[in-house]
Amino acid sequence: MPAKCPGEYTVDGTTVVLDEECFMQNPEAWNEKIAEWLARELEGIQQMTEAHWKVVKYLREYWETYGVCPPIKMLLKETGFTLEQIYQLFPSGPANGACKVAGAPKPTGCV
Amino acid sequence: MSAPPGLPSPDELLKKAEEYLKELEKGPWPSHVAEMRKTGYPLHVYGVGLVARKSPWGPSVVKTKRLTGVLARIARDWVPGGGEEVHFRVFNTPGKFYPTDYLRKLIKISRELGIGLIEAVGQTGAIVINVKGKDVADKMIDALREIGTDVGGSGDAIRELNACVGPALCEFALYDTLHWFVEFRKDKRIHDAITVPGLPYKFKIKFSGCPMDCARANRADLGFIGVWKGAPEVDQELLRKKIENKEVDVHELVAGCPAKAITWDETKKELIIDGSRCKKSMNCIRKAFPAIKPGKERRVAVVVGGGSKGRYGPKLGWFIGYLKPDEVKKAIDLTFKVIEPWDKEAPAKNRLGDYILMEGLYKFIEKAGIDLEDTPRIIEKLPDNVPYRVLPEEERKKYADFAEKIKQVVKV
Repeated sequence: MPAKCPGEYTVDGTTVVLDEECFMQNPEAWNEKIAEWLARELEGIQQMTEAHWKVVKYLREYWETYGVCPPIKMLLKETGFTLEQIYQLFPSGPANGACKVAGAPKPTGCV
Repeated sequence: MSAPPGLPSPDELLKKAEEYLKELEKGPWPSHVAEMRKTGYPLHVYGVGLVARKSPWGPSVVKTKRLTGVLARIARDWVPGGGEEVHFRVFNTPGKFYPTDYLRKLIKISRELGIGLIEAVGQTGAIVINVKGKDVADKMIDALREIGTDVGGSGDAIRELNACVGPALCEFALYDTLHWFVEFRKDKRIHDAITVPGLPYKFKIKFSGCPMDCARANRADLGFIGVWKGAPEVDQELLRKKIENKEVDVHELVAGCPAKAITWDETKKELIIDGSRCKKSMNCIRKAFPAIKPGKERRVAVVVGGGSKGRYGPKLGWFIGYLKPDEVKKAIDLTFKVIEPWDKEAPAKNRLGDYILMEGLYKFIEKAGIDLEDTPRIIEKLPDNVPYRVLPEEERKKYADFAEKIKQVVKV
């Protein structure tokens, strides 16, 4: 059953609050279990591969350091993927897909 | 942004805005306001901006499938009624030739999903189409892709390509600019670079058919200009006829050459052009076209680093070598060779020209690995440990004469 937005869910004992565009309202509660749940429920990714984790972990690390999502060009350069590959990993794109799974709030910039 | 001081109340402001707009519709000449009233453009925002003497627009974002080419503006909070304007930059056709059925399809899309406002030949080079609202943006992109064009070319990406009309309309064109444009457009790597913002700043590619440079390729980050090598061809017989008919003033031709490469032989009635000094200004060719023609050995000159914006202000491009008129594939490879060191090392908001200014042209050529015909190279100097220089015979004599002259003047 796909999750409905906005809504509140309990994943593995942690509460996840989603806003109307399915971004996490409480990003500090994020962990890897939640990332798997988000990917499965919102993006339709049944099994997170190593490539998925590479993108998600980079985004998470950047967000934790700077408080914003990185520009698309940083993401491509640091992870070494092309944009096409990112779209194959996250069908709804780097902003709506990858940032959502990484638990970062809605990007305001140009990702 | 806060409201400008001394603004009247909202009702009065709108009334005054309407007054201003009415004023712009008066007169026998065409009026942009009268034309825009036929479309769905939020004119009251424009009027309020005129009254307030300040831009009524602020930045906004739209979520679409495309990362570039989608621009949105939203009215500032002090504008009564509010308003929103979303537009796309759509790929233009090579040389800006529009088949009528293509234009009809474009107009149909603009009326159905947009507000009926199209800018076809504007400053950006792209076709600008206004969209009705944020919710139909994705639908509009699909409709545009169906008729064979796409959205893209804004932000830090390769911008809309630009080509002059080329051999389709112009007799001076020295290579097929339109074909080059199409080949660049079809290339997947170029398309990706247009639709994904991955560069430090904008990057423009332009194609000019001849040194008159209608497409302004000399002011592009990467420009391709058609040139010839050596002197222009002169048809002496035809030229004599033209001079007799007073179509061409030969003394004006000689005086007008910026390189002073033309001489007129009065006794033989012949025009001689020194090819090694020719600067390709096209002055003589333009004045006496069929009699003086561009030379047979045609090339495409590559210039890099021009542009009017950037860290160090406006610049003209640097010449980095010649390509042959059929080497389009090589030109596409060259594009990425040029981009690579700039993309890796340049700070954000620095154009390619700024990077070349910082690095030096020779170092840039070395880093990019550019190896074309006549690529400029560093001329070998004497090593630093040789403290003297042996002058050539001619120069030595010149200095000796000079010294002799001084001796006579000073009377040593």
